Amino acid sequence: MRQSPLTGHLIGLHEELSGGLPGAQDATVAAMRQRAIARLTEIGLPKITDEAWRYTNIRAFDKVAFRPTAESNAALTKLDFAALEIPSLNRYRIVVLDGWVSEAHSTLDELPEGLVFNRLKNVLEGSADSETIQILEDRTARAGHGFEALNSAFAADGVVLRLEAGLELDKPLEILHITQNDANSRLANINHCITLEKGAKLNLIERYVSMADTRHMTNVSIRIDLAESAELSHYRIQDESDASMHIGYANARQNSDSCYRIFSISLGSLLDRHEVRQSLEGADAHCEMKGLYIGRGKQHIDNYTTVVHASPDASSDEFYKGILNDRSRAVFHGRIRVDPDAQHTDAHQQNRNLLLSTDAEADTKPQLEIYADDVKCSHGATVGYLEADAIFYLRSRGLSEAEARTILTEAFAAEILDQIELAPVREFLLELVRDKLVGDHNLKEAA
Amino acid sequence: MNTSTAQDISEFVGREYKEGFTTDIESDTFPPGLDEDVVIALSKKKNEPRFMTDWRLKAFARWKKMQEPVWAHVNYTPIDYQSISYYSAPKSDADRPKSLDEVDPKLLETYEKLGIPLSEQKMLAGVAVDAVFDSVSVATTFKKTLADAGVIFCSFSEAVQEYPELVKKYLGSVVPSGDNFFAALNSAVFSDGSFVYIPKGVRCPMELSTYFRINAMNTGQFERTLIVAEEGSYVSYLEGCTAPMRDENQLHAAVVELVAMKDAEIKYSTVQNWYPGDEEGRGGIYNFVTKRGACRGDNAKISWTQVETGSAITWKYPSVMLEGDRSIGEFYSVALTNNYQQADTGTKMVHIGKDTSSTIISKGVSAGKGQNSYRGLVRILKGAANARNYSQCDSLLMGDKCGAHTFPYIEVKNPSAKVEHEATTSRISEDQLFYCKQRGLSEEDSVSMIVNGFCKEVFKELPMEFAVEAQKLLGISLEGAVG
Repeated sequence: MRQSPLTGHLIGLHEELSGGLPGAQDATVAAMRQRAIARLTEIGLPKITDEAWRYTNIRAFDKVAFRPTAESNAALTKLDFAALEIPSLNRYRIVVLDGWVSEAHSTLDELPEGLVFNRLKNVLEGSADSETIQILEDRTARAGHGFEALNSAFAADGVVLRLEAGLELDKPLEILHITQNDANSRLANINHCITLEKGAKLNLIERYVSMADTRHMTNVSIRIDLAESAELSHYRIQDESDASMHIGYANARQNSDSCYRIFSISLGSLLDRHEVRQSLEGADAHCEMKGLYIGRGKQHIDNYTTVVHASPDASSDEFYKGILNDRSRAVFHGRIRVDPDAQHTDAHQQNRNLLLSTDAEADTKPQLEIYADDVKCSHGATVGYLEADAIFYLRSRGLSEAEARTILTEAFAAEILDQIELAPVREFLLELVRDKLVGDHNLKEAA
Repeated sequence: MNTSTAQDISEFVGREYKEGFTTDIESDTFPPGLDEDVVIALSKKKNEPRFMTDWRLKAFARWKKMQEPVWAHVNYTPIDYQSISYYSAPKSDADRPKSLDEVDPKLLETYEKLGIPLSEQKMLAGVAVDAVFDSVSVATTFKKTLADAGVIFCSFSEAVQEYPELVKKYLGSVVPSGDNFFAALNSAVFSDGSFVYIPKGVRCPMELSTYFRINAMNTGQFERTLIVAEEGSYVSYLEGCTAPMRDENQLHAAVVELVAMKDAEIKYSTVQNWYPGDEEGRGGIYNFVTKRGACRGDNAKISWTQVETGSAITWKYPSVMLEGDRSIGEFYSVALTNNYQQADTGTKMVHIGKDTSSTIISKGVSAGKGQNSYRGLVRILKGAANARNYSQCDSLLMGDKCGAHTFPYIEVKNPSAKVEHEATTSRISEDQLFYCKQRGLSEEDSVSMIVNGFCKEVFKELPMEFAVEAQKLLGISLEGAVG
């Protein structure tokens, strides 16, 4: 099979740079990277002939000479954090700059006892934590697509976090990813590992911003392990440059009685692909996945989710909504798999799309794969325009057509955002979404 | 699940197919294998004009370069296409049972329960034709009625001889010869099938089902059907039948093409009950079918209704290309899998014209170790303003070893379109059973009633007499479910 130019470029780049990556002198780490690059050479970056990527073509980025930056470069720029703050949010903060954890900008000193923090960089250099390296290794072996192999091959930094049993964090933890304004073609390969021990509770904000409209790539993996009765609320806010490519994948494993809530908000990037692979491996585990995506310009937003019910008595609830303007395109893939022993599963999934422009497109694939009989499963998907009746109702109350549309569109988005319990995050997102939607209502009547 | 239900289901699962298939060796059969010479010889044997031979060869050339598809949610041992014989002369009367007395009494019992008339029973059981004079005379009457209306209804081979221009014009116009692996194979080696042509403004005076059931048997394993409905015409066609069919071929790769012109309507119903294999999943028919209809003109309508209870593997997606403005596509399906049966079936609705609408109702019932998948595509193209689709896919699971899967694909490129998809998966609940039983129904009747209720929306789309038979068929399927 012919290799894509981007795949070839990255393989060549690895040869050039691998000697300088953290832990390059460590035989285990070097071998892991070698296997990863061999895997990338074998499978290449995804193509639209791969079923999982049939609606998402990365070819627009084929000619970009993506390149990771050295840590020393990443630390140089002075940043105005005030402009980046979520208003009135009291939080712990870890900053990731161009793919490198920036200790100087993080509030590491404040982190409470029982929260064990490490950088992946230190892990790779010290090779003390073989478990984390094993995670990277395993992912390479099972790599669903080339970006995962790429991530292991260039693995350099990320947040390795462990909450000890019973610890409830008093404030949310924000991991803020910043791509700096000189960062054209910058490639950030990031690996986070978050572990919550028995009964631990965490509010996690995973946020991505770019300082300028640069054409960079973020390739990020987050691995989440929830032990018995652990609870994680995860707010993922992707608002990178409109020219960038963002590839993210969360692999989450849940033990019994644990609860995982994710809000996945996709606003930025020219091409955004976000995968959530949820595995429910204990009785009474519960997961909620809520998503909101807003497409403008020529944005392409692909949410690819899988929920595996591997044990009985677990429940999952998935609800993704999208608003698509201009020439944007959204792809939703949702799969619920119920294994043969997973009796009494309760699994539901919904995807709703609002097309606001004649050039917008939505492709949705809600899927059920069920091997147990005593289950309650459903899924649904809709694609359409605003209800004519609803617009009429508002106009009959004296609102203009444009006002009526604005209200209805915002209400469509609010159905997801209103469920966010952290008030500052909710308010921040409502405002951000409103900004993105401004100017989007002057659309012509659908032909 | 309580023990009694578990037992009921295990007995339901234990129900045996009433008719196996035999493999008599026929004379006048091509040796196994497939190459260009076989395609040419086959065409020659059927005395086909040049264009047909060329068409088959072109299809064969395409097929040689194609890969067998693997995306369906089914598993089977690979098929050796070189071990199949691609031509076999019709069975001679000498090999058939002389009368119903020689037929397996269990089979007759099934016919009795389905309420099939004696003359048809003989046909279905493969009794020699000279014994079935009743139906032959009936057929002659039908033929005259159709001819008076101007309707052409004949075997495909006959159409190639009698109406080559029509065949040339429409063959492959909906399913091109290189459409997919199995369609290409069919195009190269199709044995026979049916040809229907309804002239402009004609409403076909009868359900072609009745006629078909007693005349178009033994069409072979590579069946090809072409139905053309001219402007303003209407036809209802039923393929297959509820009774178990005798068949010697394991691989079936059929192609059905429908063409509906302006204001025309085609209603195509299928009842498929081929041999599903035994309890261990041995044997059984592989049913790999390409069915597609094109609404070529404005206000055209194509409606597919299918009841699939047979075959070891079903791979089938009856589709509609909605080209004309305001054209309508419908798909109603019941698929039942038991033992090791696997079904991967659904539909494709491609909205091209304005104000087009489509409805998809799919009901899957899985029992035993059966695997039942719905796979469908709804595609709204940019020009399809105000297109409307509603899809509903429900699955019923009976037993804890079976599977029910739903794989819909929805692609929307027009904002004025409205597309909705819903799917649910459930089983027969203890509450439902308890309710029926405390009203005095037996457990068997209760299960049968609940399953029939689950499938009701599809059955009501079948021509009336078949709706009755299909319900009975499910009833029989559930027989023995209670000890």
